[in-house]
Amino acid sequence: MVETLLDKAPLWLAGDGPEASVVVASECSLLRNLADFPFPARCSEEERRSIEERMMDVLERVDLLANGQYCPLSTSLLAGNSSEERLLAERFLAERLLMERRLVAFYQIQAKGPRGRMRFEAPAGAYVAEDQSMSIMVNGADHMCMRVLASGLQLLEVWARLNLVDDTLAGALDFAFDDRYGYFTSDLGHVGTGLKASVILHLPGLAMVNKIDEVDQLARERHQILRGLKPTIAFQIEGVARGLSQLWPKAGKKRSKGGSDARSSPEAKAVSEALYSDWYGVLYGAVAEAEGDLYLLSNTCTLGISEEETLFHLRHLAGDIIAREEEARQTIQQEDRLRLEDRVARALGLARKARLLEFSEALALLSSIRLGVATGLVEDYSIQHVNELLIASQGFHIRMKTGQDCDELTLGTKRADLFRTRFSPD
Amino acid sequence: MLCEKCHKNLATVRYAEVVDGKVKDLNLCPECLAKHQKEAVVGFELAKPGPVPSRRQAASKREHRADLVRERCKSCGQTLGQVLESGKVGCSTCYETFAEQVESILEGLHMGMRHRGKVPHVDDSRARVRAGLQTKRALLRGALRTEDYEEAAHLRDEIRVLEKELGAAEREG
Repeated sequence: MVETLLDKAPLWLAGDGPEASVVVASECSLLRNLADFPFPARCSEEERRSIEERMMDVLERVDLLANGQYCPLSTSLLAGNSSEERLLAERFLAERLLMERRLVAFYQIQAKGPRGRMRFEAPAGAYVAEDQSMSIMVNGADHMCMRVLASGLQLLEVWARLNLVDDTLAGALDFAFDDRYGYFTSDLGHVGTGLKASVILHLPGLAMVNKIDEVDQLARERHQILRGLKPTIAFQIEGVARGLSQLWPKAGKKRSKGGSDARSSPEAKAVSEALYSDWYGVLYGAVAEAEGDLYLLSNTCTLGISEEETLFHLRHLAGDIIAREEEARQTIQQEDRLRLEDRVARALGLARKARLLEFSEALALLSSIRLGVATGLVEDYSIQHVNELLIASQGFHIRMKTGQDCDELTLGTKRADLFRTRFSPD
Repeated sequence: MLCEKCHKNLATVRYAEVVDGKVKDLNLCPECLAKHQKEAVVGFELAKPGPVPSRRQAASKREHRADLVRERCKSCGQTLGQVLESGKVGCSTCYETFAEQVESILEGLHMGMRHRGKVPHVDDSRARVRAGLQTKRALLRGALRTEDYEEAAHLRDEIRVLEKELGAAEREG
């Protein structure tokens, strides 16, 4: 199912939105739960299945969602041969930002089920719209996570579309809602509007003049959060450690003393393999850990604030940051032009000649080339060209293309091949 | 009559005192009266710290805390401990079950404690009744503030009718 998406570039990568030289994309997601079920983590497999069925039923009936497909995901990580395929599909969707990255790893590691066995989320899936600018994740942390993406700074447009989808679904489903707390969500951090609005920013200028911390501070003062985009590997180690210590507290303690018993159980192995095998994809972490000068700016509060206010504040702050970035780019062009030209030319050279590329390095190259395109130093390629590679150079995109069992070396080679063809001078 | 305190001088004053709601009569000589009045309770005092809880009491308090953490949501089975550890609840009923803790967590996370965003756009009678109830309740509060009791009584009746209607609709649904 997911394979059919592989060769279609998502619409939001087109780089034609407003402020596209700084803003890669705007995204909004809405969390909704059905009134008559507990949240997915507390549902039985049967209950999750009826939730999925109800969702499928709506997808069939609602015209608005007619153009798209439903991709079933991960029935069980331990179910056998098909699991790897499904895992691949999940990661792929997450890399396309059609699913919450963090969710992918964590929704499989749930609390111990009956008799202390690990319980995996059974029926789950994602509806993906034809143009890949909208998705609805079913049975993630919440029953539904609707998400809309658009190129450039288009928060209001994104919200308008998301709002319409929400209204349409609300006509067919009874959402868990309360006058006081608004929309109920499993995470106390999202209750209220259930809205998470974000813009993905490319800030190489501010990074070059060392002003990212200032922007970070600014975001904090205005109750927003700025996070850096980083390759997943660090996260996985952390994720495995945390996951294992939750699942097998005793084993976790032993492991910290040097033993490795935690890894020996088959479940533990499955989890760690699942997490470790995703070598390079992206997720958002601390500002200081950002790679490729990519940052995610999002709102932090959902209760006591309306959707419109949330978007207003975020847009306002994004506008400020864009202005600062433009200013920084101007300064660099005027005062440090040689270094800028050198950086862009080097990146292009590497992209055209390298035989092995790690994802981190690829991100750095793409950042420099994107800056080159934005400042007019590179005229042969468009923002869209760079944006598309940003997605396509991620680990699971490459694995999907080449087949599943490809090791780190093959991945690096394939990535370099991709860069060579996409940036070939002729 | 001799003074009831010193039993030496002649009692010339009859002194009545109210202590703990009981009237105490005393026949005193002027000297003793002056002494007594100085000692008399003239105001409130802070209570002395109570007895230090015994070890057993402290243990039971700890147990009570542990019980609290083990408290389960009747609807979904999530424990309070799990909620506090993960910041996640198991179902919408948890918000009510663990109201106190949920509220204090939400206070730290958000800008306010009341939802101000959109309301599900549902075109059914229940939603209309609920919205009507909300308005009527707000009007009632206003009427009570302005001491318009006639209007308040009227509104109260209307609210009762709407509540019944809502209950019936929910049972049907």
